[in-house]
Amino acid sequence: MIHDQQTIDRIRELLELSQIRDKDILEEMTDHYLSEIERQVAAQTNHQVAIRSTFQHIASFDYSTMYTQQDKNNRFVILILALAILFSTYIWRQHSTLPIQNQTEKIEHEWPDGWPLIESSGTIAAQFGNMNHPILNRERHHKGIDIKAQKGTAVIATGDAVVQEVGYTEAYGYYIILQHNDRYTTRYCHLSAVEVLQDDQVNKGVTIGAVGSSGRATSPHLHYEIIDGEAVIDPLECIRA
Amino acid sequence: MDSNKKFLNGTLNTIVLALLRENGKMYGYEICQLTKDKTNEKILLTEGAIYPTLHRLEKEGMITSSKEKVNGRIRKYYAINKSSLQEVDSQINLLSQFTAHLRTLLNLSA
Repeated sequence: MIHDQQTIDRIRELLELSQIRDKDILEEMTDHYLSEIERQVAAQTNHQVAIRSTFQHIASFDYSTMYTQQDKNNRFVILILALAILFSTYIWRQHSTLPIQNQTEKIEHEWPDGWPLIESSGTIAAQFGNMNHPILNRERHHKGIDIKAQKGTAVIATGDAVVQEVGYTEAYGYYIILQHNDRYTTRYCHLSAVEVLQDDQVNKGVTIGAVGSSGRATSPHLHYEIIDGEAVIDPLECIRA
Repeated sequence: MDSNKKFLNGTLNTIVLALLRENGKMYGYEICQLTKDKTNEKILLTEGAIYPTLHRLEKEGMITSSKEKVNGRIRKYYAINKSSLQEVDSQINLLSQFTAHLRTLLNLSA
């Protein structure tokens, strides 16, 4: 039995209205309903009645447990996939941006980690922290370390910096203050010579002055301080190279 | 029908496989009609049940499908996948045994 195109089109239309969209399934279901019409006609049902009752059946049949369910599953899978992709992108971005952030933070706040005298020369004469001042002869907090060395030993920058200040005070003698970044500055005191000017750019390891005993000092040594923001910190804990 | 539906849930796969094993290649509508005829219209397989079952079995590799042109339209036929024949047999046997036990149990309680 050959069906007219109108019947076939109407079946497809009704199926599509029921959310059945897959081409193969549409084809298969269309054959199913055309077969049903054929069976009814073979059983002596009026052709038009058979067509109408089949249309009615399709229009009222609940396909929700059938392919819409599969659709829902597919949608669910797609949703899960989309979430997974979003999540992994998020994780990937986190991982790819974190080190860069850390790096800039590290660069911005890298502390000066060098030894302040050329060729690692000198010996530590006084540690950071509480000490008895040899001249004032009383307990006080030592704001840096004293490195005993021969007069004239080259004093070098402990990190890349800009010369913030060069000066002389009664206590510190000739001194240099280097600003390394927003956070760290270093002070070099009791110098016998100063070889930089304010605002000079200096790289780590560059000679900036020479050891002396200017100011309140009994013998040639370098008083070296590291200031973290407002507070002095123990330079020995910062020195790496 | 509704109570049949409940029982059909776990057995439809095997029923379809048994019909295909018995009759060779069949199409969906044919399976529905054969079931209806064989059970004196007591078990009615709807298109909402038969097609998802056929597609699932095909996906699982238990059956294969082929398309043929009939009355100017495409018809999809299903047949048991030869390599799954042993598994199909064992599934049918299991359900058959289960049904026998079920009958015994139901007779006992009756």
